Amino acid sequence: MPTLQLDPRANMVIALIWTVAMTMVESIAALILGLIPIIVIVYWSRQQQAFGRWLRLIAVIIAGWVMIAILTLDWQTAVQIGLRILVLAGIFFVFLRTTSPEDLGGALQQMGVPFSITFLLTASLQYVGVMEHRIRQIIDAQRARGIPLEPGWRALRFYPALLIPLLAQSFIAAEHLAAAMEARGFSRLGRTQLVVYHWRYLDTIAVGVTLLAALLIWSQC
Amino acid sequence: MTGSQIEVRRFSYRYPQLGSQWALRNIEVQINAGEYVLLCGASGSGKSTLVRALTGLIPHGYDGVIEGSITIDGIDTRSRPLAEWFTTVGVVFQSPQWQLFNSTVTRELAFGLESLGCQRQVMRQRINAVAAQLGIEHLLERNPQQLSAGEQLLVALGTVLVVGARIIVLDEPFANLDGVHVAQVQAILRTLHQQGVTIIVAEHRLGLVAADATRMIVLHAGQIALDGPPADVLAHDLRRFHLEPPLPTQIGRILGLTPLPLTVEALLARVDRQQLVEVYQPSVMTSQRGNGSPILSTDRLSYAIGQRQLLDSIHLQVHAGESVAIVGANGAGKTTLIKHFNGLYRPQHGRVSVLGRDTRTTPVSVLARSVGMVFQNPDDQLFRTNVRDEIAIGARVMGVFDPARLREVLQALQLEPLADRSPFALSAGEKRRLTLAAAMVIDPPILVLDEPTTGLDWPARQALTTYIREQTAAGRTIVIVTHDLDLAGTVSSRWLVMADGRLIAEDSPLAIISDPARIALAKLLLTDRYRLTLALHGSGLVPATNISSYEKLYADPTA
Repeated sequence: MPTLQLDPRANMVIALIWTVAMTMVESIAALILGLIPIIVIVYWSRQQQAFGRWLRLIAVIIAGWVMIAILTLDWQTAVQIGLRILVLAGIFFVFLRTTSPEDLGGALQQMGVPFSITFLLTASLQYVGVMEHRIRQIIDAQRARGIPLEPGWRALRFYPALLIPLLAQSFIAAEHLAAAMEARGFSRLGRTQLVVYHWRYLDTIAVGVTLLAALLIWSQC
Repeated sequence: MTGSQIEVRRFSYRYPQLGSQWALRNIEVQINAGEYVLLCGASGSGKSTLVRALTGLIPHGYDGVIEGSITIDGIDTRSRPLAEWFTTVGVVFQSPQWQLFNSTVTRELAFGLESLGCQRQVMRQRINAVAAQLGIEHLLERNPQQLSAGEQLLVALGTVLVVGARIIVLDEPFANLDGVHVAQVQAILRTLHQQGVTIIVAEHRLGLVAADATRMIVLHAGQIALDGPPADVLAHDLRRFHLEPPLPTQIGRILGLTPLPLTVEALLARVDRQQLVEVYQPSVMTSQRGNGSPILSTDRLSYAIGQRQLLDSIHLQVHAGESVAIVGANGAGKTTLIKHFNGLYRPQHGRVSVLGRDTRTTPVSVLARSVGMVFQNPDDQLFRTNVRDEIAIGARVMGVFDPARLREVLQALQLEPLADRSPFALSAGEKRRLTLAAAMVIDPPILVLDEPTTGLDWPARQALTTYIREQTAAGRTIVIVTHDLDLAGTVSSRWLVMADGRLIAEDSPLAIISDPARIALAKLLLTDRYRLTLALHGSGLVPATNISSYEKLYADPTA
């Protein structure tokens, strides 16, 4: 996947600037302008398929809010709300795809954030993938014995069949993780880092350009 | 301080949740630097608890009652925090995927070095050296969670080696490995032992470790039952401790050999083959196909995720009443294939037919009545408050619940005494029986088992083998996915051999094991019984017959 390889802190600052800007702007034109760089990055990094899956996931949320807005307010506000959620979800998607949790944690640690806090951030994000895998395994095991856990209303009644094994395994995972971390010196003082992050001119330029673009959109629209 | 590296003195331990029951009782043992110790015992014997105690996880990670002491290099394990022990003693847990928590293998290996405050250049050097030692250079930028079980074990071992631990403790390292990785890990442990590292392996499959170990400790009911060189310990009747001795040792005992042979090669070097066939009758099935009509078939079945081809044009037929084993290395596509049998996966190309139904158009809930499937991890299913409900829930939801059938299954799988207990409180073997019962309660014509013997000790494995054979004899069609070739050869008359998503061979077990090219292509590791069988067949002393009974060991004084 082609990326600009910015410093993870630059990625975080850019995502924050764009999030603030897209939360503050009011006009539909500004939100559409805000969506354009996200779409460009998605295409440039060849993440269309993954972005499509992400959109399908949030489509229900967008549709729900749009419907509520149409019924209680007006269509213009409904479009605005829908677009805003779409842009914010897009920012979140691009940020997660371009910045590994560990890189972000490592960079923050370099800035002086305590390791126990950065590790909490990276490990919890790291385990999202593990838990996704477990969820698929549990759903397969339950469906194989006739318990309907396919998406749909009927599955709601049987959600304990997913949630209880998942919860039980999460506790086991947490116990193993704690033991594994401590058995590799987690709480020792004087840690060093294998990867060192350097803030370069490119990072400053990227943050500056983002800030300018955000101000421009905010002031014009 | 004495000369021992590890000293366990009258050590007892009780888990807080187990009341007055001691998990370990009065353990007294000294382990010297450079020893290779096989720590064995049946499920619940205390192996894993002793592993935790030897690595400092008890008392630092577990509450409970402790008596006695454990010292490493003369220092009590209680006197220093756990984070101070990892350069001395490293541990590889039974499920390595839970001890890997970084996004790449490089970062995983670096974690311990970062804790030690190493400089970057030193870290790079050590990581590269350990990766080369373990042959995992090609995995360095991969996500550990996406590796196979064997690769994960190597990475977990790497995290221990990279910080220079002089004592390495492994808890059932071979439980989830295919043949190739078993051989690789065995070779690595041998090399480490030769380099002077102290190795302690907790394992109940004795044949995998006994020949390499210098010492064997048998645990039974939380106490040390036997301790000594493997050949001496194996001279005792280990079946009373629910352990199965390696086959060459069993034969050696019958023949009165001293010292006992620990490998097939050692046995064959000392015993005439004619003498051997008088005491050992190998049983490797030679019949190929069931006589019934095809009950399950795939036609040019292909399945891919992204660019990765998981199944490539699989064509197979399973006949009614037949017992078939699907064998192959990790990642060969075995589990992906069986998930097509009940519609969990839909064919991307080709078709799958079950009892004449096309799985592309038949719901999983309908196929589940015909195909009972038991997956590898019983914990994926448990959510009810008692065993009886847990078994019945699937049948109730499908509307096919029959109380008489439930009683029958509870009885057949010896679960009646446990029927009112919580499923979460069962042992690994009991949970396995429970999930098998949950599949059997709907009385499916086809039963599919995914790695059914993983983590089972010898008695549980024997009971499972007997049950599968009874079901086959009763006319049920059985499909087993397994690395356990001994099980596959005992219960299945036909093997389907998979490699890289393709079906590369389909033949009787005897025909498969007799073909070294196919064995190598499928990355299978022949166990003692197959190597002995081949040696005897090669000598022409044992005819290739259709043997449907257990292999026989005559005149075993302990039998």
